[in-house]
Amino acid sequence: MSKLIIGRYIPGDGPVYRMDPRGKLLATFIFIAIVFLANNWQTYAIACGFCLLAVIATKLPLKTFLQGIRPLVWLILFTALLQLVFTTGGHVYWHWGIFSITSFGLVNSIFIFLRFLMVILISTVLTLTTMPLEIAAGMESLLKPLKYLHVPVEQIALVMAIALRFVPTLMDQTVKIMNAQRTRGVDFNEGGLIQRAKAFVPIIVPLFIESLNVALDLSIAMEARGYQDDKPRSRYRSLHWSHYDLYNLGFFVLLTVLLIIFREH
Amino acid sequence: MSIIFNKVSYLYNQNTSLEQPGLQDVSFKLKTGSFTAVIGHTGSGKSTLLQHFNALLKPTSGSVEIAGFKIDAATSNKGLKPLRQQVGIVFQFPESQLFEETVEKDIAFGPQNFGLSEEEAHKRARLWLRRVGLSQDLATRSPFDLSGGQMRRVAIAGIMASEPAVLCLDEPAAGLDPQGHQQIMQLFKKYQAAGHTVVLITHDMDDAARYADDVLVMDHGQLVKHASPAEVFADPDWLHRHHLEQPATVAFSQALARAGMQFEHLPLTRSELVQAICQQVKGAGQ
Repeated sequence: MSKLIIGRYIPGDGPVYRMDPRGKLLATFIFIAIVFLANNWQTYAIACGFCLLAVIATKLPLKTFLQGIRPLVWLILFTALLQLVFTTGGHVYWHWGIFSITSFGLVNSIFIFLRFLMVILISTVLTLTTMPLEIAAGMESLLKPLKYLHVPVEQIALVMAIALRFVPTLMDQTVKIMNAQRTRGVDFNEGGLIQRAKAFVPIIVPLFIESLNVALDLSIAMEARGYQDDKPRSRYRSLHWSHYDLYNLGFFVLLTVLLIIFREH
Repeated sequence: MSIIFNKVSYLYNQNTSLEQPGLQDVSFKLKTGSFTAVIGHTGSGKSTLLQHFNALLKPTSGSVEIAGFKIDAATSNKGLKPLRQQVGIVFQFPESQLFEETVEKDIAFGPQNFGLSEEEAHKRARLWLRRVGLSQDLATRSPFDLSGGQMRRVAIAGIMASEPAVLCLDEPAAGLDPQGHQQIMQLFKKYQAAGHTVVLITHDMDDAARYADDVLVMDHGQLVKHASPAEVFADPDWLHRHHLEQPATVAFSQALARAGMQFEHLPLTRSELVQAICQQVKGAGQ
């Protein structure tokens, strides 16, 4: 469990770390949208180049990113494979029943593979360099216009921030409870499906109770500090735009323009 | 059947960018039937060390010999049940491991997993319920209706009911009231007297001085001292450098020694201290 890189923050000092979370969130969404503009070799090469630059700008070792991709590699390959054998058109290289490998399929599956990879890389850049609470704060700020539609943006953001905050706590608690039950002779690696499923009861029950206790304690602590859900709150870390964010957004505007120019019309 | 740690090192998140040393080159040997205290400040590797006792963590390098098993990096995760039957661990705040409908069922859970029949396991459960100082009326209650202190005792009974040859405890008395603290520590001492090996992680130097006959001092993932309590607690400066303190009895007797009293050996328990002082006072009176 501790090996999962996705969604994890790793402290660092690359330029990406100095960017405002709002800017990074916007840039990530922009990238995920405009990656679909790419439709030929030139545009894919440009998008990949920009993606690599973003990775380099984190100053984190490339190894970290590879670890982030590893758990998803089968999903990506599977999707690419489906694309490969079910796309028709162009020159046919191989044919068997409903499956065929064609030149269109080959190109398409490579494009899908690259697109998948880039989306994962860019989201990993965001989560590796931005603390979960910063992401929540950024979301809240970006969703502010919805307040005029009577959406309780602040409360939603608080719920999000609390949920994110307690993910590591519950992970630790899960490991702790699993260890305690292993010590009492529970074996998670042996037995049939039903036996293995049964072995999880001694984990789920304590975890559930622990979560309820944490929630109760937290609500008491919040009330003790005067939290009221309809009052505006100040924040400890305020968000500030800096010249780094200008580079960040400028970078993705440039990418969008390049993609529009070089894509096949 | 002693416990041998042979150059045990452990790395957290091995081969990732988050790699961090947990233990470094820890070697020691504990005698069967001994009572060992493991002390060291927060984050010194005490709990990491404890998890090596029943292969919850396996050494990155080096090996652990315990209860007829030899555990190293290559040990499989399967077939470790007999080891865990022999080596019980009571974790910090063990009340979070309770899950059954009744107290009795919860205590019997471990013994039943280790192959005891339902009847035998429940008999054990009632026995250990009494031994940890709880009334038999609680046997049919839900563990979640109990007070914090009672839950702690039920959780401890849940481990001890399997009657492991080696009992490891991580701060078992933290947060208990003074009376409960003493009762529970006496229970462990009695368990040792019955021929079992006890390993106790503690921040309470008085407990370490009073109950242990062997002390391991951890600092930054390394074993910095392995000696008798009298030897470990004699030097206040050394302890201070490792963010530890002297037990009250030792500090008190050394203060008296500075004022001119003489002690043949360091009194570790309160009764030893009282006895030593009485002798001195009597001697002075003559």
